[in-house]
This record gives sequence, C-alpha cells and structure tokens, in this order.
Amino acid sequence: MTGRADETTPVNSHAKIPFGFLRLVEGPQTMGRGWPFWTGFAIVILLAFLAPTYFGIRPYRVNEFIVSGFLAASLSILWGYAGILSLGQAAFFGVGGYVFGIIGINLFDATGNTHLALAGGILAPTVFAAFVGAIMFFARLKGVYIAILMLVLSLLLETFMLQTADPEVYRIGEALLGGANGLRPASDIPSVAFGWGEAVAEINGRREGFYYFALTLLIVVYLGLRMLLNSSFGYLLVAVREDPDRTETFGYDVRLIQLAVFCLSAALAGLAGSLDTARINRVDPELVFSVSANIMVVIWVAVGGRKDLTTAILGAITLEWLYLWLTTSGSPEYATLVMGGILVAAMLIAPEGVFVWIGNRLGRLFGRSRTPAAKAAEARQ
Amino acid sequence: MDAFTQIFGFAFQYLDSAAYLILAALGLSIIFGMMGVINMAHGELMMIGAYITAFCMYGGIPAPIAILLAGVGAGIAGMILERLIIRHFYKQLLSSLVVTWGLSMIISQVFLIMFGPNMPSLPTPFSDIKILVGGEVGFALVGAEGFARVTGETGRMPPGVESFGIYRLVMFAVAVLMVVAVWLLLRKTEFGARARATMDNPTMANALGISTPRIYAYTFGLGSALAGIAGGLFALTSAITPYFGAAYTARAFITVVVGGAAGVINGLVASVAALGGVQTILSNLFSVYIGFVGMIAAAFLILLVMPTGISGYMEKLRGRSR
Amino acid sequence: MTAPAAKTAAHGRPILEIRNVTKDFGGVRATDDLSLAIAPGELHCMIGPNGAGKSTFFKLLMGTIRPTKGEILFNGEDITRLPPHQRARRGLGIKFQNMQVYSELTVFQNFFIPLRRNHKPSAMPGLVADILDRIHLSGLEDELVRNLSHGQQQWLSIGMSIALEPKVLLLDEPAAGMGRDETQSTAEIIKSLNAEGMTIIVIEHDMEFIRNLSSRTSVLHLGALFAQGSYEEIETDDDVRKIYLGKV
Repeated sequence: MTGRADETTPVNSHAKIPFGFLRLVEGPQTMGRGWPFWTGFAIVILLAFLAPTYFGIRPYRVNEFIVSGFLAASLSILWGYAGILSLGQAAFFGVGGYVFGIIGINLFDATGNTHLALAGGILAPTVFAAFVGAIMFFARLKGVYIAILMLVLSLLLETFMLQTADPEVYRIGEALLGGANGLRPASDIPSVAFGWGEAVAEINGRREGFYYFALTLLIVVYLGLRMLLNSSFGYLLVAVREDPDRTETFGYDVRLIQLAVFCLSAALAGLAGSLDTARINRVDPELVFSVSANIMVVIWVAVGGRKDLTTAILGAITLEWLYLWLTTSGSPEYATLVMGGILVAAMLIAPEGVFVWIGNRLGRLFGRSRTPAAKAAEARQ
Repeated sequence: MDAFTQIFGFAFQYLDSAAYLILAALGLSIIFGMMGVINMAHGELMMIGAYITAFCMYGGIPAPIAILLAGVGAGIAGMILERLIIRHFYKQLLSSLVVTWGLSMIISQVFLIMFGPNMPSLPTPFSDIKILVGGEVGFALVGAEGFARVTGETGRMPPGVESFGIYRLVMFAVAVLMVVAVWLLLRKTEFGARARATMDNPTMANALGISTPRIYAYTFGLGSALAGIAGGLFALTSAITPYFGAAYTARAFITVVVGGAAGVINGLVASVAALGGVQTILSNLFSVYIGFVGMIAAAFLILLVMPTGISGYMEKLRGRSR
Repeated sequence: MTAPAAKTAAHGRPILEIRNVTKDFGGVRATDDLSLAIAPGELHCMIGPNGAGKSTFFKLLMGTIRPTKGEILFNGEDITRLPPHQRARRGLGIKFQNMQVYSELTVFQNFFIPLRRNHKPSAMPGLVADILDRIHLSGLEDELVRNLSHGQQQWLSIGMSIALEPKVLLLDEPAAGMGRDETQSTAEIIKSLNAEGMTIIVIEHDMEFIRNLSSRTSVLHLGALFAQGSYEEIETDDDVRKIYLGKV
C-alpha cells in the first residue's frame, strides 16, 4: 500500500519507475508503464528520428501521418475517455485549417511568421466547440444525437464552403474562400514559420524539417495528454463516461466536464488542421469537411483502440500508411473498401481496438499486466 | 404572379418536401423506434433500391413492379446485414453508429467498383402530365397536347402561368400510403403486436414466447424494404450514383430524431409537418441552403424543448410516462 | 391523517423540509401536495406500495426532476431549483435504486471521484480504509468492482455516498435484491451510520427491512402522505394494511 502516498495519482504503483518524471505520465488511464514500455518507446522515437536519413522514408508522404496523430488523439480523449462520440471531428480540423490559412494569407507578408495564424487555428475551433457544445451538453442531448449532429454540422460547413466561389462576396482581406477549389490564393498560404525579423525558421511541409518538427510536437502533446489523463481530470472523464448521473450526485457539474473535454478536443483537432494546411499549403471543403474526411478519423481511433491515447495515435499512423500503400499500389476505390472492411472487422473481432489487444498480449509477455486492476488482482494471489 | 398561384406553388412545395422527408425517414424511423439503433447505412439501402429499380427498368419491367422488387431486394439485404453484423451491437448504441457507418462505406464502394460512378438515368413517369396554374389558364391539368396548346407556337409559357409536374404529387400520395400501411401493420396485425411488445419490454416478450431475435431481424428487414422502395421512387427523379444515399441520411436522421422514438408513426408525421414547413418557407424566402440550415436549427430548438422528440413529449403530456 | 410539518420537527429547525410539493407528469399526479420535515440526526423511513411515488419523491429531492408546485428547503435554504450537483455540494448524498458504481474501476478508484472534491490524494488511503470498515468491505481496495457480489456493490454505492460526508443521506431500496444475511448487515450499516449522527432517509417497500430499522416512518400512497408515526404505530394501522393489500 506504499504507493498510495503519491500526490498525483491515487493508484498503487508497485512498479519501480526509472525516472521520477515518468510518474506523472503513467497511471491507470493509459496503457504502457515501467521500463519495458518506456524502453520500447525510446527505441521507437529514436528509429522515427533516424528514419528519413537511414531508412529512406519520404517526408512528403509520412508528414501527413504525423498530423493524423494529433487528430486521432483529439477524438480519443473525447470518445474513448469521456464517452462522447463525434462523427464530425474533421469539422474542427477544417475550421482550424481554414482559419490558419486566412490569417496566414493576410499577415504572413507583414509579420514573416505564423504565430497568430497558428493561435487562431487552435482558438477558432475551440470557441466554435464551446458554443456548439454548450447548447448540446446543457440541453443534455443523448450521445447518439450529439454524434450525428456533429456530422451534420460538418456537412453543413462543407455545403456552405462549396458555394463560396464568388470572389466579390466571400473575401476576407486578401484571402478568398474559393468554393470547391479551396482557399485562395493557395500560393500565399504560408508554411509554419517561427521567429521574428531575420531569425525566422520556415518549415516546408514536404521536407524533413516538418517531419522532425511535427514529430517532436506530437511527442510533447502525447506526454502532456498522458499527464492530464492520469490527473484528477482524467479520472473525472472516465467517471463521466461510465456513469454521468452518478458522477453528478457527487457534486460535479457533468455538463462542464463534457464541455471542457469537447473544447480541448476541438483545440487539438484545430492544431492538426492548422498543421495540415501549412503542410500542403492548401485547404478545401472536400478535404476537411466531407463524409470521408470524418469517417477516416473514426476508423483510425476505433480500429487502433479508442480508450487509450497511444493505441489511437498508432491506429492513425498505421492505417494512413496502409491507405497510402493501397492507393499507390492498387486503386483508391479498393483502398476505401479495405478501410471500411477493417473497421467492421475490428468492431466485431477486437471491439476495444486492435492495438489494445496487442498491447495486452505484450503486457503479458513481459510478465506484467498492463491494466492496474488486473495487476491488483494478481498481487493478491 | 397572383395570390392563388403563389399559394398553390407553396402548397406544392410543402407536399414535395414532406414526401421527401417521409420517404427518406420512414424506414429509419421504424428501426430507430423499435430497436433504438440509428442505421447509418440507411441511405445505402435506399441506393440499393435505386439500383434494383434501374436494372429492372432497363430490362423492361414497368416502374411500379420494379420499385416493389427494389423493396424486396433492399429488405433482404437489410436482414442479411442485421443477422451478420448489426445484431452484435444492440446494447452499444455508439458502436452501432460506427459499425453501420462502416457498412455504408463498404456498400457504396462495392457498387462503385461493380457498376462505375454513374448509371443511365431513368425517365420520370407522368412527365407529360402537368398542372398549370395562374394567368389566363386559371387552373388546368394538361397532357402533352394541352401543354402544347397553352404554350402555343412560341413554346413559351404565357405570362403568369406556372407549371408543376405531377410525379411529385404521386410521390406524396405513395408516401402517405406507405405511412398508413405501416401504421396498419403495427396496429392491426399479429406481427405488429409482437413487434410492439418486443419494443416495450424485450425480456417480457421473450418470456411470453416471442422470438425477439426474429422480431428484430424482421423489423430491420421492414425498415430496409421501406428504404428500398423510397430509393426506387427517388431513382426516377435523380441521378443514380453509388453516393446516392448520402444526401438522404442526414435529413432522414434529423426527421427521425425530432419525431422521437416513443411513437413511430405519429412522431414521424408531426416531425415531417414541422420540418417540411420550415424548409419550404425558408427555401422560398432565401435559398435551398438556408432552408436546410433552418431545418437543422429548428430540429435543434425542438430538441432543446423536447429532448425525447415530439412523440416523447406528447406521450409525457398524455401522462403515460412515470 | 397527514401530520402537519411543524409538529414533526420538534427538535428545532428541520434539516430538510418539503413544503406542499406536487409533481404532475401530464395528467398523472406522481406526488400530491406532499409535506414532510426531517430533523437533524433523524433516521426516517418511507414506505408505500409500488407506484406510490417513492422514487419520484427522491428524484425531486435530488433535483433530477423539478416539482410542479411547492418548495424544498435544505438547512433553511430553498433548493427547489438547484441542479443535482449543487445539491450534492450542499450536503445531499444519494444512492439510487439501480446500481450506481463504476464497475470497470477498482474499489479504491471508485472512491476517488467522491473524495476528490474535498481531500488530497495523500489523505485518501486512510479515508477509504475507514469507510470500507464502516460498510463491511475492509481490505477490498484493489478489487475490481465488477467482481464484487451484488450486495457488496450496493454497500460500495452507499459508501461512495458517505464519502461525500453528506448532511443528509438518501437511500433508495438499499437492500434490493439481497439475501437475508445481507439485508441484516445493510440494516446494521444504516443504523451505525445514523448512530454517528448522520441524517438518513430510507425508501423501501419491504416492511421486513423497515422493521429492522424501527424508526419514524412515513407511508406514501398515490403520491400523497398517507400516514406517519413510529414503526409500531404504522405496522398496526389498519388503513396502512389495507393499502398494502390493495383494498383502498
């Protein structure tokens, strides 16, 4: 019972943790603990950083996968942890992408950086989510309704953006919304750029630089989210998912918790959208608001494993890789068909997610169970 | 345009959008009301119906029979999906959404791969028969000859005269017939009694010797068959593509949710009456897009006041709920 | 024979007071002009046949539904319009009839949610051990809740409500679905909590269980207060017997 005195997490940690800081990012809400996991984690990161130089992966393709990782994380905390499914997660991605582009087009020449564009790309979807979420959660709409209303919202945005071709009407400063062609002038949509004056680092989305930048950012966000999910807030999310009514009788305003995680999720999706617009210097309605944009996010997270951050991100990266391989070696129609097939098969065979299943197997292989509850049961025997 | 023409035009549009919503939503509403499952592949079942209708009509089968066959085909397809996949997800509503969404993706891709991106379009029945309203004509039902006489040598409509195709009204009539038929089926037949008992309390129904899995399969089949018929009817007026169904699913869903699960038929009718009205008025005043946005906004507002939909609210008023 | 509220609250100000509360669902009156006052430290039972309005009454107290008419006072404050979480923060703890535990978490983790509002994580192990002792579940901290027996889960649910340190604890059929021994233990748990000074309201339809508690008892019938008195008075009341046998 020694681990109980831990200030940050209320669980027993029988496992010896090699570095103090890891205690913050471990806990019952995330898979992976102790030296086997973190050793593996370090090796994977190392290989990932070496990959462009030594394994010949091409950043202009792989960069997309990393951006998907952020989007998958945003749906995982919402659906997996808090139990709020959104079938329209790409809506926030798209709003972020458009706002990044619009601010970027207008301000890049003057400032030389994209600080404000990035901030706007994160803030705009957050504010949007706060507005929509406040209505939905305070009306206590059923989860099924929320899921589909979000999709409908995304499709409404798509329909709206498709009819914005008129350059006279749909113009924000220098930026033209551009209808089906997407935000114009596309050549003015900046890449991510940090710094002031002479000291500006502009990161081309098709090169190694973006790969290292996005990968580092993803690791930082990942570790930050692990800390958050293993804090009291993470507990509350799970409590709200498991039994919202009961959680309310303990004095928590469930609607506020739901709204908070909804906004956080939108912010992450907005970050992903901003990065993606910067990566390819392009954003159009079909790319970010369509049914297929939305369903892919759900597929990554459902197939990877929604209830765990790591598995959701892994799901996004591997499925994007598979999808790219299928489209380049076969045809897009078959690639989409395979994605649908994988989703349905995974829901039937491994409803908690393929990587969760693998993770549990690996955990047993290393002689330690990865769920704290099962571990506690073992400890007693 | 005189007042009568305007009123007639308005009523015509209202019936048209009501027919659209009823046809798109009826099957979905039965499945949702009876089983609590939102079937995201509903539009794709309509698409299957549209394809069956198209193939039958290319083969010379008359439209009414082709549409009935579409209902049968989609019904069988729905029952197969239910038995193979959907039945595993009855207790998990969110997962059932995701799985049926995946199915919708698979079905439309299979059709795309098998039949290509589009099909030759079908002739709209009764396209010769028109209702002319206003101007010197007043009010007249005309065939091709009569139409030619009115337009005269110029081929143009005289000032103030509006023409309306009759097929839209036929669709409305069929929609009403389908609603009545489903109501009779649920209220007056053995199957209906069993289905409603299952919906009320599955455990009790099971104990009374009703095979609930079979009821679920039939109910799903019925909902799918209605989707197939609707798909067949729509196939005669629109382009037939593998993504045919996607446009209907969102509207159907909104209609069903506003109707609520407590009373399948009365909820649907009330919901269609309200949403169809909003859509017609706003489309007329502004644009089709605003009409659609307005319909969703109205749905939002209705759900804020009545979280269980119109039928749930009516039931509460009647005091059946505790 | 409705007892006036003022008379029952002999010991100073009541901690919980229900004044002329009526709840209509459409045409049906689920609660009919109900008045009741609960004194601090009291153990109070509410009984009534199925459909008497017991559960509606608890939902009104907790705020899941709002009354059509009347008001509810807690510690002298009008809480009629407050949402559930606000009432919980003021000291109303509740255990509804259906299972209300987080079955995928361990017993200890279940306590984390109610305890977190007022306590540091470092204080929790001691607090949890103490509560588990009071609800006969000592040493089960690390057990996964879904592995507990039905009775143990009911006790855990009571324990989670205690963890809030409520001023008034509402228990809806705490012994539902329990065997004889477990029912006996449940009654003991409730009595010992009351002996510690906690105000408790218990809803039951099982007269046997109420006998174990032998406290002041109110009888609900058709949403209205039908009778009130000590358990012995209620048990021997002819009218109460009649409604239980369905003759009124």
